[in-house]
Amino acid sequence: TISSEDKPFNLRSRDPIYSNKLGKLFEITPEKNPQLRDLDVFLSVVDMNEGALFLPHFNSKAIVVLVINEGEANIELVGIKEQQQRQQQ
Amino acid sequence: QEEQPLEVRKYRAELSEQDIFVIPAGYPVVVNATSNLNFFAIGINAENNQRNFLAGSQDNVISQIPSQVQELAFPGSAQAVEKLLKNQRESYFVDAQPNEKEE
Repeated sequence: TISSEDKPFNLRSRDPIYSNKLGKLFEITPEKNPQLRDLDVFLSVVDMNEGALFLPHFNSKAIVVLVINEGEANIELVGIKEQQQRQQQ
Repeated sequence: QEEQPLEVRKYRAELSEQDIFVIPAGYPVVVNATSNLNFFAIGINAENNQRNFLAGSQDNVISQIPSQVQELAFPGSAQAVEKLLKNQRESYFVDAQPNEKEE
């Protein structure tokens, strides 16, 4: 069955959640879209100017798969070093 | 029992068109655009996700820690921590060039 909920939607149809001279982030979350709620997925699109920095942050529970559409970027991710070998001694 | 000090592990990459990069939940991340940039992101396990910033004036979780706790967590005094956190007046997206002139 096809419902009105199965229509395509546009990420840029809502206002960006973050926006300034250096960048914009548009996002649709499962709370705002039934199709995304079924998948438990959020979708974002980000525009950044050359020389802009998306400030250090972390997502509380979402695993994010990022795809570069246009342009180039340096990305830095921080994790904790595994200490298992030392614990075995 | 001796406790081993936890060390951070840094992961860096230069990304270009059509590259894919995965950010595990809870891992801090920074993106620096070396050219005009457009990327999209798919967030798995998204329900009630919160994006917590570690710098800037909006949504900065470090600024939400009470000053007594900040003073114990960092070597600097409460005043020094507050001053440092307030230095970055912008939020979310900032200029990657550090300010050469501070007023």
